[in-house]
Amino acid sequence: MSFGIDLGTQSCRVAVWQNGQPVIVLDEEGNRALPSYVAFSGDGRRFGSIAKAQQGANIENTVFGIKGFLGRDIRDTVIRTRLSRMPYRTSRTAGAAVLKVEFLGNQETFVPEEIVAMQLSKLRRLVDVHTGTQNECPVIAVPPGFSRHQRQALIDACDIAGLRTPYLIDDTSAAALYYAFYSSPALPNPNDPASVERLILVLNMGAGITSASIVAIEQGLVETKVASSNLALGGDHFDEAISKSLAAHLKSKHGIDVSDNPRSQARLLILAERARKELSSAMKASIDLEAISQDIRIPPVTITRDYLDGQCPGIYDDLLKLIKSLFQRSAFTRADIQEVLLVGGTTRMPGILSNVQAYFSGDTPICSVRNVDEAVALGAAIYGVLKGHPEGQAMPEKLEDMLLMDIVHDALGVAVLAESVDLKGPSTLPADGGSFHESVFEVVIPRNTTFPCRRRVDFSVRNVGDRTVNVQVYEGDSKQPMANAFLGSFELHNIPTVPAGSDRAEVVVDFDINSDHSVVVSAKDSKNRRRSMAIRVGRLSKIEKETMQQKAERFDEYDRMQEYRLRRRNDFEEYCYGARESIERLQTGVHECLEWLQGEGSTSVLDEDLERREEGVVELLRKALPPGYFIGRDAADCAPQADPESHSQTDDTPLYDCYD
Amino acid sequence: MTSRIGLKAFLKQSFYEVLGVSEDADAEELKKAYHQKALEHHPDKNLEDANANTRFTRVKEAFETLKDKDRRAGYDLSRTAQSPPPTGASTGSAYRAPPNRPSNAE
Repeated sequence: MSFGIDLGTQSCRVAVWQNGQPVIVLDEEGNRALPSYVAFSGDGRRFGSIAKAQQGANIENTVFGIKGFLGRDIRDTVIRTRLSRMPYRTSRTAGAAVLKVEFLGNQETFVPEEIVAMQLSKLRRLVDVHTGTQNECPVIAVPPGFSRHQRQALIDACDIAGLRTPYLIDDTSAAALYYAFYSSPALPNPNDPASVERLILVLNMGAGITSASIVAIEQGLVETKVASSNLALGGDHFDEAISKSLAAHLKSKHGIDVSDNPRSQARLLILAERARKELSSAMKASIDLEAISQDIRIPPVTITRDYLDGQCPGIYDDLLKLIKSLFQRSAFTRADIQEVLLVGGTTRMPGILSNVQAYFSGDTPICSVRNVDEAVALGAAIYGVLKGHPEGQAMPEKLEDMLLMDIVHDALGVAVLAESVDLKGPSTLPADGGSFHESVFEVVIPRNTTFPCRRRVDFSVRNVGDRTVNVQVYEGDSKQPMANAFLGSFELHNIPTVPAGSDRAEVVVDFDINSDHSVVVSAKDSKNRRRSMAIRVGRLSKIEKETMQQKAERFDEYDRMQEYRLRRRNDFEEYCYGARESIERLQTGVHECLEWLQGEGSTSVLDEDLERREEGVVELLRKALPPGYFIGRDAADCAPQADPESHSQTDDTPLYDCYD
Repeated sequence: MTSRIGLKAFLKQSFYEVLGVSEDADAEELKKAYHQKALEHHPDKNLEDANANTRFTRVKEAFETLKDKDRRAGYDLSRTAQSPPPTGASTGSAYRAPPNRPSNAE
């Protein structure tokens, strides 16, 4: 079966399809969200709220905010600065970030993909427990602005976690799908505004990333028109601003400098996050700073909404800039938007709502779904069913007419010789890969194209040398190939000349984008000799991934053993408390009988009295020594097994049976 | 599932036939037809059909050509210019790019 994941910068949510609708899966503590924290220690890993809660005591080995490093080039200065600000230890190899933690008494290094794989495994285990079945087909929501490299890193993380056939869906599309699922009437009705096509702007503002898209919804048909993300805009910018001003306050008023104390900084960040969330419903929030210092008593500080808005005016500007970029990237205008849909926890902030409202001058209805935090995960779960999971089952009736038509966000194309572009006729492909200084980017598939799709473009060949072309594939918006993302290249040799006046092109290049967003580029000459290339941008080799997968399995197995030991310990404790209670009851019972025997029972004895008391003591004795604990059971029955399928069975078997 | 014609015959159909509209269909009719045909041919709605990509691509191409006034005029012209079989197949290849090259400035 499939499950939908909203893999957030600050917290994750996971949903499955159940009883005709998507539902959120709870964690062991009953939380609806799992903070995106992984903590390493001498006795195993912790996830979610437990990992977040122990951060202060284990600051160097608690890892969080990994989403921002996934598939990113460490040579990017923004990424490098962000990485250096993290309280955990990091380094870099081959252009990628590496995290160093102490785990089970060893120094371990992990790449971001491995950490995300751990989170995915954890979420999958929650789903397995929830459904009682094995689940291995995740649908993961990603910001539309995620590059191919970032998407591939996420797919690699799925491979490492042993998850099969992962699908990625844009988070704004997932939210739109969920919105269409709940807001569209079952049957088309021309009088109902929900059954004609509506143009909706979806804004998903999370903790670290904000995405926006324009979608057309008609009944269950969701068609993305244009989408964009700001990968460095989100609620945690407010948190950082608040924690910075708290640090300044501590320094000036109380003489406490936290600048070289990562533990206090992490603490301030959590306090800031809590205050920011409180300000979504209250006009002011009080921040208790007592935990910062043991030496001095620090009175709490109070912050207001106005103060919060004043701290980071740039955030609202960036948000409106993101919305405006949608109009720049498409033919739509602000007046075309019929509804605005706000999702993501940060959109709860009143400042966000009022700024969006002001931008749309109050005429456009601003809608929301019941739980803004969960729409993305729930929409991803719906998409999983649409993609055919669970296998072999009929499509639920409500989803029969639902379809998501998604788009490519960046143009795809090839490098061509600059000198040939303004001439009449097809552009010329370069003969080798070294000619990029004289080449420009020619678009084959424009951005905002619905996929699956295929485009064919004719090219000519430079009439010198051995008549070879080098097809260099790029993705991006710049005329300069080097400013775009390089996706791969291949060559076609010994291209025959085409007679003048022929309507055949020297080389035709086809771009195919399949329904899973994968790209195949092929080129063929006039004699139909063809070469093609499937675009693969992964950073990790197959062997590296296999090694990481084995490592991940070992750690998962260790966690299972730990969980089993913990459960066994707790069961034993419960058993001992039970035994103590029975023994106490037996003692009281025996004592009463002895008293009776020496008192009333020493003179006149009735048969039935004696019988009743005898039976009572025997019963108490029997209860005090139940034959449950390890009696009549093989030790092998209780041990966890490596095979996960049989393991899930031992989960359900109580350790202490009663055999009466 | 609706009974469907074979892939070869499907690709031979004119853009109007692909969308199931008359030759004087207006923009609104085209969009309605496109949505209906997308639901019918999209690969997500035909998970077992390896040809769904090709069918959907054809539907999309038909809609994109006919919704654009100039491209529709060019397409109509190319159909009448050829000695037309009544089913009006004009493209040897299903995916011939439109004469105007796509560019960044779309």
